Amino acid sequence: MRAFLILIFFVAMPWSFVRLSLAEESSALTASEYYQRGREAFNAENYGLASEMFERLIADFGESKEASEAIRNVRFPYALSLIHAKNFAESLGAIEQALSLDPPLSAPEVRELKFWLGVANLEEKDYATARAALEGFVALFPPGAESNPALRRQFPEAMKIPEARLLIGNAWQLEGDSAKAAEYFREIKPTLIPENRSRAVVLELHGLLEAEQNDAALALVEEEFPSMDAITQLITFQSLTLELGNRWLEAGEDRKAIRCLQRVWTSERLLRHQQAQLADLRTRLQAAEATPKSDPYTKFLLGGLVRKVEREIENFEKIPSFDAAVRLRLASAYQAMGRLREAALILEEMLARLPADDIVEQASANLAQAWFELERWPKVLESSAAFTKKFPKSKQRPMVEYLAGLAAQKAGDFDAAIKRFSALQEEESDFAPRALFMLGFTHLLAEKNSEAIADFEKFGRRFPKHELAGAAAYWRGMGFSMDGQHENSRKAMDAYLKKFPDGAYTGHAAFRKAYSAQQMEDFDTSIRELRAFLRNHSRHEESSSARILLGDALLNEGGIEDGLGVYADVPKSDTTFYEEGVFKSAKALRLIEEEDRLLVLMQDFQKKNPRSPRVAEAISEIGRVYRQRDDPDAARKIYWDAIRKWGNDSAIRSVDELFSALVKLYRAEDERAEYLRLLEKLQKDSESSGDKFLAMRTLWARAMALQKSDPETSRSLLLEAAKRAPVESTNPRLLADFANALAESGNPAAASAMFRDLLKWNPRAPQKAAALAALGFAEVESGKEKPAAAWFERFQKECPPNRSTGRVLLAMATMEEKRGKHVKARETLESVLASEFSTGPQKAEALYRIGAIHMAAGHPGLAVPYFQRIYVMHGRWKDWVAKAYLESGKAFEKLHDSDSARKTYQEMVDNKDLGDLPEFGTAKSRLEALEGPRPSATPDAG
Amino acid sequence: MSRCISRSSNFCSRAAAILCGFLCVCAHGQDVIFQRNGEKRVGHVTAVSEKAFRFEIQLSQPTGNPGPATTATVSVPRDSIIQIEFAEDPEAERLLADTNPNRLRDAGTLWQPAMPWLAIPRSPAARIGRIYAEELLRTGKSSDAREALKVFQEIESKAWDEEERMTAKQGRLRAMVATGNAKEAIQEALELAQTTENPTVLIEANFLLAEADTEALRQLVKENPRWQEDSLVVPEHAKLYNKALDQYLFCPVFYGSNAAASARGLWGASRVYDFAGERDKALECARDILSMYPATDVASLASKYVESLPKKVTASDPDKESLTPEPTPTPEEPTQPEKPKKKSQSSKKSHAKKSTKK
Repeated sequence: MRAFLILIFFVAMPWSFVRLSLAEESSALTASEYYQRGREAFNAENYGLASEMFERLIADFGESKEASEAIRNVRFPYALSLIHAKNFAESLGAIEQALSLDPPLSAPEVRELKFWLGVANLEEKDYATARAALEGFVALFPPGAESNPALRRQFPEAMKIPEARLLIGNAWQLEGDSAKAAEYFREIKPTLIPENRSRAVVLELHGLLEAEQNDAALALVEEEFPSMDAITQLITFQSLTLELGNRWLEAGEDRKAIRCLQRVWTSERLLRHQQAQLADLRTRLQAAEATPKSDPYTKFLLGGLVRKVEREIENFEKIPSFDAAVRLRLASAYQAMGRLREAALILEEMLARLPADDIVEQASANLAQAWFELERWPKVLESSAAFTKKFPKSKQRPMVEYLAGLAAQKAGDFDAAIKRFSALQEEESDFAPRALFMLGFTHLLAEKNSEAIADFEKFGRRFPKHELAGAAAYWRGMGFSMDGQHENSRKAMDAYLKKFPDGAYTGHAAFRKAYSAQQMEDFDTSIRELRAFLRNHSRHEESSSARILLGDALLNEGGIEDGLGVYADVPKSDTTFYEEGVFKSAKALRLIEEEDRLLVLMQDFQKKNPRSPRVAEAISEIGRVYRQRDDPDAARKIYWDAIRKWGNDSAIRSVDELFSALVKLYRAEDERAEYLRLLEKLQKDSESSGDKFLAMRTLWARAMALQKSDPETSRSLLLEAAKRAPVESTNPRLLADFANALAESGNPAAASAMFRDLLKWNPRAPQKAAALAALGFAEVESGKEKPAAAWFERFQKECPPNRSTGRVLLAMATMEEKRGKHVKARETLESVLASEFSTGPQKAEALYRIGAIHMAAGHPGLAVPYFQRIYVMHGRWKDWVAKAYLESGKAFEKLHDSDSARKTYQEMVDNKDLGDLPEFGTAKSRLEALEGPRPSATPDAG
Repeated sequence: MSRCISRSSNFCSRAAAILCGFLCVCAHGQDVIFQRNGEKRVGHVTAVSEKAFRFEIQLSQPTGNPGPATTATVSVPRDSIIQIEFAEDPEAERLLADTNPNRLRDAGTLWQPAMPWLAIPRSPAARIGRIYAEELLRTGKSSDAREALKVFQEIESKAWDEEERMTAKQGRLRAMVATGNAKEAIQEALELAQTTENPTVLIEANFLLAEADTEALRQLVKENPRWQEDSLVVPEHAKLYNKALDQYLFCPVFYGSNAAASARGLWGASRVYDFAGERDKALECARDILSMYPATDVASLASKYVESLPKKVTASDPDKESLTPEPTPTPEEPTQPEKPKKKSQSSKKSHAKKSTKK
């Protein structure tokens, strides 16, 4: 820090010092000659020689009366010569002697020497004396002398006042009282012109840092930042700001560190700014020099500043990796705060923009890890690619590549992951074993079991002592299991358990062995091993699954009670397995006709799990028992009770399933009427008790019951229910029914809105496909093909093929044809043919339209097979058959194949089922036009 | 070079006089023209045309003549000049200072005569225009926004200083939004974000894009309130969420010293986090604002937000705890891989889980 201070001091000193030159050999001279030579040397700025001549004059003739005037005259230049020659120790005495002359020196000379007295004391490290001298110098001038042009003319030495003030501050600093120095600079700042003020700011910041007044330093940085461009020594100021940021970072004050570090410019910007500043200073200096009346201090100051900025730029250009160091610190601050996103953004910018060096390399490797932590898989891949490009030989590259492989795997791009791991495992690096392991694992994810098994076996051979060797041995067994090779799986698991008896997968391996035995229907073994597994790993994550398997095995071997006992041990917290155990138990009880126990089990389940989606299943089971006991009322009661109890709770969607099951208990006509009456009563009761959701459900249930017998009433009930249904919580099944009712009642807009709400609140509803299709068709109906196409595209993208697929594809093909996209339309129609869900008429239509497209394109030869497939394969659909015959005949005519055309028309007119269709007459006419049927080659046997 | 003794009559208004002073005349300074022939001339530049500058010079006083100095105006061809060093004008600076209560009016008055000087190197015309346009935008009136748009366009197309042109471009984007052309502004921002390197423009472009992505995110969630359940919406949600955050954080992370824009970006990020149910992260962004940008407009919003949060959320303040920086996490150890599933949806799931409203 001291070295820095000295640097600042000299940078701050605008005077240049000339070099000492070798003193001229001088023999004994006269006083006049000493004087003359001294003056000449002084004027030639050869201060070493000048001081020597003056000194000899004083030494040799000091006592001489004749020389007293000459000696008096050299006191001032002698002192100045020593100063300029940097002989400060000697200069102190010379100045004192000059100042003690009687009569005294001229006032300007006194002022000049008092200034240098301060400087010399400063150089001689007598800081208190220096400060006193400089304060004495300032006190020689009237207030404001340095800024008042008239006073400056009167007191030219006043131009040194700002320098004196800056030196006073420096004296405090050098004396070790940095706090006082900072305080002093802060105090004098307002009195200084901008150029000197900026020097005081830099010195103040330095003082605060030296005094460890970091909060005050931060305040100064923030206070000065808006006008930071005005700071001449900007690079120094910025370097101090960086130092302050470091301090906060080390102290764990991350936000304060960020406040500093984000105020440090990039080196390029700093240099550009300082170079522009330098150019500006030079221009101003030139302008000042060109203006005869310009203030000499301005010229003097500008000259000094030019030199300072030049030196700052020169030094700064030598600093390596300035930007990388600042950026890395900023990223570290964010990372320390747990702000990985911000850290990653900074590291990403470093990788993209900064030249390659060690810091950037480490930062870039950290970047891939940061994105990985944030689960930004595409970013991991991007940063990995950029890293490999920028640092192809980096030692960190395998790690970055490995992360990229994991990211591809996590993003579901197994092919890309396999490619990366495959390449990486071939390389010699620490990551080769991991890459090989992950290659096998990714093969498993991609359902490429045999490749995975081969990878894990290769791992065992190449890296038998690696920490992942156990995992590889286990997953090899899993590969066999997933591939259905249960015998091999058991062997592999045995090998794993033998080699890694304390491995991380011993429980998993034991379970998998038992599982494989069960898959091989070796129930004795599976029962024995599952019991051992549950004994040895009672809290294992597979324990519930093991209990279900064991229960199944025991039941299969006739151990019903044992099996039921094992099912009952599945903890309720493991919901899926628990419910599975309950319903497997129910099934077993049903088979052994233990109905009382079955009733207890189901009633208990219903009571304890009212929100389970399987509660309707339990109630149905109870109802079935009562029906079997010829007690339909009891069966109905259990449903009604459940509906009344849970029907107003919109979250229990299985209630809606209860209505569907309940209605089946009212089969006879009078029973059906009773059912409707009870529903109506329930609706009224729930309305009067404020159970609005139950009332809405009851309306829907009434509509369902009347759907076939009284469709009109059914529809109006649905419309009424639709008005009352809160879309966000109503079962999508009901919403779909409401939407269809709205569409049928001539309100397509409301129907579409209902379907949209269905999708909005139930993105995974089974009714999604129907809703998307309906929305598309509604748009087609209203002539809006663009939105229709958007709905149909979603239908295709988001839904597996279903019974609406054919209709949707045909509609899409129609729109494509309208837009003139015949090739695309033909592909879409081919999809209709390929879909297992397309109906016969839909396939016939698709075939006909493909043929028609070929015909329109002038390819009758391509069209014919499509038309023919209709009357060969879809003869049931007469409309399409007739059209196909006619078009097929026309195609042959275009091909000038009259025989085939005639045959085709003849075949059609021979088909009596087609006689009432409009195409029949046309075919007949064409046949006649082609001069009647051609005589058969072989005589008719009849 | 032609000479004339009379002053130029083009600049007769008060504004013109001040501007003239700003550009060229001040009590303590004079303009210096640097000519190609190496000559430097000291005087006052009073007007500019396509081909020449009008330059007022002081003539030498005959000895013993105590009267006022005589001036002459000369015409200096533009192509003979390398550069002009304009003198400073404290009066114009006073009018442009942000402490001036009539800054909008005064900047507007200065702007009109300043316009012809936009292209002249080292002239302050662009700065005057920028201050005027910023003041216009500050009023929030659409008519003023339209005027600001014109001023920014003028500066962007003519100013000599590239930095001023870029600042004007950024201002123009804001003015476009203020005049109801947000869509076009966003489109342009998108192009600029990919092409420009100018920080001022990048900051504005990223902010506009963040706003657009946030709006799209809100719309997506409005249309898909149960988006977490929809495997097709989850990636779109993640994309918009990440884009919005990355863009909002652009300024605070890379140009954090720009207080107003950084605080604005942090507040945007805080809103996105809050919308996604990540109140701990929203809180941290709000705390950034309060700690780093307490004097900005959004600080009061951030303060209210912090106060509105339950104490259990605000209880922990990492900034007040002495944290030892953790080393960057090592890559995931694959010793305990998940069981293979048919399709890995881990990214979607984890994103959905994180973004679930609490």
